[in-house]
Amino acid sequence: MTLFETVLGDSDNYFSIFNTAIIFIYMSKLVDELKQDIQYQHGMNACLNCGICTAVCPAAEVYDYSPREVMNICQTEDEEWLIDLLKSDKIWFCGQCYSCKPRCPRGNSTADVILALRRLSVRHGYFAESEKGRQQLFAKRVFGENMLKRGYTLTAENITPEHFPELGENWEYYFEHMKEMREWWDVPMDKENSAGSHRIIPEKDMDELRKIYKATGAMELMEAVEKGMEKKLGSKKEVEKFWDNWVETADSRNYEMKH
Amino acid sequence: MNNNVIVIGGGPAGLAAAGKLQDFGLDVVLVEKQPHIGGHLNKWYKVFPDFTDASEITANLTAGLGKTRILTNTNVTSIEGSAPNFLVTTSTGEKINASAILVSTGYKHFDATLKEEYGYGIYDNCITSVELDMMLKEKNVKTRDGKIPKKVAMIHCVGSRDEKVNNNYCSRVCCTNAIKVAIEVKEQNPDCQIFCLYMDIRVFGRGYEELYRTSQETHGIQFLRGRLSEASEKMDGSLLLRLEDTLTAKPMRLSVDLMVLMVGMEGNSELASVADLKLGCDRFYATAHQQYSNNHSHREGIFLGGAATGPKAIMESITDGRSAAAEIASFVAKNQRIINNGQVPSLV
Amino acid sequence: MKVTRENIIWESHQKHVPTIDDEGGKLWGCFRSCFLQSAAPYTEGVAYKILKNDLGIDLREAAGHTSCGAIGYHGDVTTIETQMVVAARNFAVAHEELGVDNLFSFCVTSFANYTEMIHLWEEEPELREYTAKILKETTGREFWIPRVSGNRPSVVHASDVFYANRHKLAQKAKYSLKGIKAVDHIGCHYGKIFPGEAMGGVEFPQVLVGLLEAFGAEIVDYPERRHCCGMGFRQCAFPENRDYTASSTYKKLASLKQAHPDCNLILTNCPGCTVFLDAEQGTIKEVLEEEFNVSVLDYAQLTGLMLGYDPFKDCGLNAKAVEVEPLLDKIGIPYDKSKTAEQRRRPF
Repeated sequence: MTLFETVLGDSDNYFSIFNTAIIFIYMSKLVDELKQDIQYQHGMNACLNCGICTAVCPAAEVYDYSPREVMNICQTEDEEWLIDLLKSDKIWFCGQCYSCKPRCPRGNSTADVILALRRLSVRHGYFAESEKGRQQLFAKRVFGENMLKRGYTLTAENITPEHFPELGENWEYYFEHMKEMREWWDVPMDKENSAGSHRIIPEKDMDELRKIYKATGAMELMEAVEKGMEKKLGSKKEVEKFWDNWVETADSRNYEMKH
Repeated sequence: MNNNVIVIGGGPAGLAAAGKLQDFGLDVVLVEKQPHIGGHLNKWYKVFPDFTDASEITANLTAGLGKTRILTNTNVTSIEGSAPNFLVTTSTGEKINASAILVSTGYKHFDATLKEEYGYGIYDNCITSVELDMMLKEKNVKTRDGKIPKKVAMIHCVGSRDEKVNNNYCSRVCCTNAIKVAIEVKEQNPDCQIFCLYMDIRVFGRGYEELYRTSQETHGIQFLRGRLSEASEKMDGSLLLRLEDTLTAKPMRLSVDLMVLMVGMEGNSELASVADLKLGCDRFYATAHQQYSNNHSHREGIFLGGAATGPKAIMESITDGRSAAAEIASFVAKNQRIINNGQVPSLV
Repeated sequence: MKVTRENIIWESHQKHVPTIDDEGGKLWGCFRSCFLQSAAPYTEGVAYKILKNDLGIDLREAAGHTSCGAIGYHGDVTTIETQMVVAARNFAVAHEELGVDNLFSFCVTSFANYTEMIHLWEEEPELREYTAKILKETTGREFWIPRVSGNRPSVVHASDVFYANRHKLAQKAKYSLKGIKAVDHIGCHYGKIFPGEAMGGVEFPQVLVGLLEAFGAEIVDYPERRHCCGMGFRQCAFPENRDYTASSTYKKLASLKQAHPDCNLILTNCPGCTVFLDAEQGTIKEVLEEEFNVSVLDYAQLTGLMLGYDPFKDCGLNAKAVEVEPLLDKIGIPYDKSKTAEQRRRPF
C-alpha cells in the first residue's frame, strides 16, 4: 500500500500518519533525487489538473499516455508510484514536441519533467524493465556513440532503407549511390579539414567534445544504459544479441525476453 | 474642513456608495468618465443568480442618489493636498475641495486576443461573454453568418488563473455568469446543446449553487472538466476545440458553432499615479489590510470600493460600495469631531 | 474563414533579425544539422547557395564545430550540463575562430537547444559559472554568449534569416506562387519551447507565412495545423514506434484535405517535419490506400525553386514520397521532360 492509499483509505489517521516516522520511510532518495534535477525544478511547479497538456499531446492520441497523469504522479511524491512510473513504458511515449509547454497555465513543462524522469530511470536501471525503455540501448549506441565517434548524433549511414522503408525506392537508390549523389547535389561527404555537411571533424575538436561528455556526466549516463541492460538480460552476450536482433530486424520485440 | 466627498467611478459600487453618503448628509460629487452612469451594468442583460434586469439595478441605485452632483464625461486629473483637505481637479478644469475620496473605478475585461490559441479576433464565431450578453439582450444569439447555433461552448477562466497572461487570480464571477448565460441561450434556443468547459466550478454566493444545479437538471447544460487548449476554425465557420475530459482522462475534440470566452476581470489602475495608490500583485488596488481595512487605501482619506480592489459580483460591489460609504462617513465624522474639539486632525 | 491570420499581438512577437542591409547582416556563422546531413543533405546545400550567391552573405562555419547533441538530449543519452558546455563550445569556436557575432542553426532543435541553454545561463547564474568553468577546463576556450536578436542573448534559425530577407529574395524570384494555395508547418522546436523566440509567436507564426506571402502564395489554414508532425525523436528513430509518426501525419493531412482539397503545398522549417510529413504519406498510401499528394518543402527548397535552381540537382527533390512534378507544373517551373521521373531522380 502506498502512502497515498494509506492516507485516502483511513482519513481519521491522516494527521497521525504524518506525525509518525512513517513519513520518513516514504521520503525516499528517489523523489529527492528527482527534485534535485534543475529541469524538474523548472518544469514542475504545481499542477492543477486542467488537462490543457493532454488535450494537445500527440502521444496521448496514440498511446496510453497522459502528460497530466505523469505530472500528477510526480506531484504526489509517492515513492512506489514513482518507481512504477520509472519502470513503465509511459515515460518513453513522449515525443518531446513540447506542445504541452506553451499552454500550461501554471508554467509547467511536462516534456522537461519527462527528461528528468528518463534520466532517473536510466541511472537506477528501471528503464530496462519496460519494452520502450529498453530501446534506450539503441539511443545510446546510435545518438550517443555517434557523438563520441563522429561529433554528430546521426550519420548518413544510419538512415538505412531497412530501418526507414517509408523513404521509398528513390532513397534506396540514393543509399546505394550515397557518395556520388551527395557530390551531384554539391554536398560532398566525409571531407577532412574542411567545413561542410557530414565532414570529418578534426581529432583535436573531437577530443574536446569527448572531454566535455566525460566531465558533464553523459558518459556515465550512457554506461548506465549498458549496465542496466546487462543486468536485465543476464549478460553482455545477451545485450549484443538484443542489439544484433534490432540491427537485423529493426524490431526489438523480435528478441525474446526471458523474464 | 468641508462636507464634500468625491466618488470616482459611477458603476454599481460608486452609485451605491454615493447614495448612502448623501443619506449620511454629506455632499457627494460623482465623477464618471463615460457619458452615462452605470458602468458595466449598462452592458449586461440580466444578472445572476436571479436574472434581475441589469437596467433595474441601475435604476434602483440611481433613484437613491438624491442630491448627488453627477459629472459625466469627466476624469479626475489631479489630487492635491491631504486628508481631510483634498483639492481635486477634473478634466473639465473644475477644482473641487473634498474631505474624502472614494475610488470605485471598477475593472477592465481581459483582452481575449492575448489568448492567441483561441483565435479571438481571427475566428468569426469566437466571441466574448460581453458580446454574448449583447446578443441575449437583443434576443439574437446567432453565428456570424446569421444561423442559429446548434452547439455552443462556454469557455471558463479566459484570462484568469493563467500564468501565461500574467493573471494568476480567479475572476470569481465567470463560472456563475457562464451558467447564467448558458441557461439564457438555452431558453432562447431550446434545441441548442451547451457545453461549459471548466476547471473548477466556483459558484460561491447565495443561490449560485442552486443555479448550477438547475442548469443541469432543468436545462441539460453539459459540464466538461477540462481547460480549452486550442481552437481552430473549420471551413463552415464552426470551431474545433481540443481539450481533455479530465474526469474520464480522455483527450477529445469538440465541434461547436459558437464559442464564448468568459473573459475575466483585470484591475483598472488608471488612477494609480493620480491618487498615488498602491497596486497588489494582481494589479488591482491594494487595501490597507485585506481583513479589517478592506475599504482603506494606503493613503488616509482615500477609500476603495467595488471591483477596484478585486473581482466582484454586482451584489458584492453594491455591498462593498456601501461598506466604503460607512467607512467614509465615520472618517468624516471623526475629523469633524476633532476639529470641533479644537484638535489638529491627524495627517498620517 | 479569414486567411490573413493577422493578430494584434503579432507586434509583440517580432524578433529583430538583421537583414543584409543592416549592420553586420552580411556576416553570419552557422551550425550544421545532423538530421539534415543524414536524411536530407541537399536542403543545406541549396540554403547555402541562396545565402551566399543570392543574398551575398559571408557565411562561415568552422570545421571543428560539432552537433549540438540535442537529438541525444531529447533521446536521453546526455545531460543538461553536457548540452550547456557543448553549446558554449560551439559558440566559442564560432566567435574565436571565425570572428562572427551573428549565428544561426539549420536545425530547429539546435535552435531550441541553444536558446534553452542561453535562457538557463540567464536564469541560473551558477549554471553559467559552471559552464564557463567546465568549458575552460575541458577545452581551454573562453565562454561567450551570442546576441543575435535585438542585442539580447540569443541565436536564430536559418529560416529567420530567409524571413528577414524575404523581400530581397522575392525580387529575385523567377517564378511566383500566385494562385497556389499553401500552408505552413513550423517545427515544434522552433516555437513551442520558447514562443517568444518565434517570429510571429507559436499560434499564428509568421516566419514561413511571410516567405510564402512574399512569393505570392495564397495562405490557407486547417484545424490540425498546429499538431506535431509526429517526428518525436525516439518515436521516429525506431521503426517499431513509428505508428506514432504515421498517425500524426495522417491526422494533419486528413484535416488539411478536408479543409482545402486543392492545397498541395506545406512549407516547413524543421528537418524532421520536412522528411516525415512527406515520407509517411508513402506509408499511408501503402497501408490505407489513401493519397494526399501534398508536397512538403522546406523554406530553402521552395526559395531555391522560386529563384530558378534545379528542382532535383540543386533542391534535391529526388527522394520525396510525394511526386513533386504536379506542383512544379502548377507553378510553371520547367524541368527536363525528355527524361522519365526515375531518370530525373537517378543520375547515375
